[in-house]
Amino acid sequence: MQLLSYEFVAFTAAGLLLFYTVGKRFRVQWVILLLMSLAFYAGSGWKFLIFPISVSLFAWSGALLLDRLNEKALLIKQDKSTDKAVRQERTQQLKKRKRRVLVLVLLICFGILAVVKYTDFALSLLGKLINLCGVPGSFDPVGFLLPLGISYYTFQAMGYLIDVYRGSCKAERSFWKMLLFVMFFPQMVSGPISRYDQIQPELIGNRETGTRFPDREQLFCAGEKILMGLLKKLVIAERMSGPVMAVIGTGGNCSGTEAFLGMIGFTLWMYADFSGGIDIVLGTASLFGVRLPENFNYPFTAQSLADFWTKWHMTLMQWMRDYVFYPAATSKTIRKISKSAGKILPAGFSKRLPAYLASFVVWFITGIWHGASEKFLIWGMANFAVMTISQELTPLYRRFHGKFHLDGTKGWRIVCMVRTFLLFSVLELFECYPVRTVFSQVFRMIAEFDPAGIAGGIPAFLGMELPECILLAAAWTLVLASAYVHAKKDRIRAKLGERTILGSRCIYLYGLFLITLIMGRYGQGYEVAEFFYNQF
Amino acid sequence: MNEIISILESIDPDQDYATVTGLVKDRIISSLELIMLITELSDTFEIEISPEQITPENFDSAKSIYDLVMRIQDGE
Repeated sequence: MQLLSYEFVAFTAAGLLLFYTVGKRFRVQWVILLLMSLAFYAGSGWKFLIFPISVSLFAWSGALLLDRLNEKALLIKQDKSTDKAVRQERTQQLKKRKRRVLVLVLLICFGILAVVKYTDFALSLLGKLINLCGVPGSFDPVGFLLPLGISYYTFQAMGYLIDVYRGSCKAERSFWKMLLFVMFFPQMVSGPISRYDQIQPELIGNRETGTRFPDREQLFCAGEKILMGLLKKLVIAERMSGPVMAVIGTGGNCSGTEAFLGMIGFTLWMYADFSGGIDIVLGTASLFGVRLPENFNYPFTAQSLADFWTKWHMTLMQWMRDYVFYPAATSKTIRKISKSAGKILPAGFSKRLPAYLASFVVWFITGIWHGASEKFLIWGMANFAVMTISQELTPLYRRFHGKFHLDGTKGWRIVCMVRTFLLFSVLELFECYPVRTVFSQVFRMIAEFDPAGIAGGIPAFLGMELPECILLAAAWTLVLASAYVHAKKDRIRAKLGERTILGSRCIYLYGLFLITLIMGRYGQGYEVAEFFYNQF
Repeated sequence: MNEIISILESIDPDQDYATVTGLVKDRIISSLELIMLITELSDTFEIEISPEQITPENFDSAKSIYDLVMRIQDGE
């Protein structure tokens, strides 16, 4: 079942009816959500259910065991009647047991993901390695079908397991509630990756009152999210995907102007597609009283690439930070490597090395998370390289700002935003083209840079007449204006009266609905493309 | 406490660490800079900071960092 389909609308409507009637009456709302999630997932092939159920089972049982070990550790710590040395020894033993449980479950669950997602990539790499040794031939791909959402729910479940290991949350006693956390249907398509302690209370609902039907404000917010998501996807992304894919399809065999428009178009299309999908997911979840975390925070206002990655695909990057970056950077292995490197490298650099080595690991994993191919790995490494070099140039930036006093000025902020946008877009080229082609494309874009040609070439690039281009620009303006209003909503609320705001919101929502209805690309004979991030 | 402030200043000299709060919550220091800080703290005070202890509560100000260092030295 696609997120953008009449079936999904009917499915959600029927689910809401059951949720707020039978579910609320008999306090089984979470059961309704679980059944909906199972049905939604089975829609992509009932055989694939084995994957999320297996991951849930391993995470649930592993977490229960870790919880019991945590309780034992606490009892040992509180037992003042035993000698301190004995207590420390027992605590160390328990820590080792906990680590073994954690590592085993992580290996199993990430192993399932690795086998399903990366077998063909590994075979292809192995084939190339063997060819390099002078042995001809290759391995036939196995061709595993990627189960829906496997990259998302595996990370989500393992994040939960690590939280229990750390003692920052208690294990879920009910396997079925655990299964709901892993399989909650809105987030199965393209995330976001949630944390157990943040969404579980809302998934399960209040014991006494159940989840109440959304109030007016909640309905407005849900409606706005869903309609804005539909506008981004059906009006903007569906219009842009064809021209953008056509440029990528040339394999870099195009003019500098086309390459530039294709590059910018790809970034804008990806934002509209991905954030549009997430808006629909968040809005749908909120109708059931579940607030999923945001995945975007005005990414195009970022002042640097590092800042950008705190605003784009936030839940994945936060997962990487908390479960890969911090543990890697503080690990004994990386500390040892840094200390050894300190004997040959400058003292200042060797102190920064743990951060860089951990960042390398993060971007390696982030790269291959996005896709089982060399181009995604190179893309990840390119991001790592740019951020590392930028960090090393910090003293230079400080001297520059000390001399010119531009930091903090509005003009400089805009320069940094444009610079970051272009940098992100250039790096995205590694996802689309072979490495050699990326460099030649960038060179051609610079050599043939022609602002007038670029502006004039937009209708031809989009394959649209000027009026439709203007409509597309208007849709983008609406997206930007909505973001601006959101950012300033408290100030706007204070200035205008509640009745004015209510009236404006009604007109705004009706406008979004009408624009999507009239300008959206959907309907009989038209197949709306799957969300780009669905493939991961 | 002065040692902690001078470590913070070596990473980013543009803040008044005696008074500023929200170092992590308000992203005054980045994740990369936070790890640099942790590396320096570990070397200077001969302590080990675990990933579970890397929280805004422990790193949002020079005072909270100082409290964390003291707790670890006392055997937390």
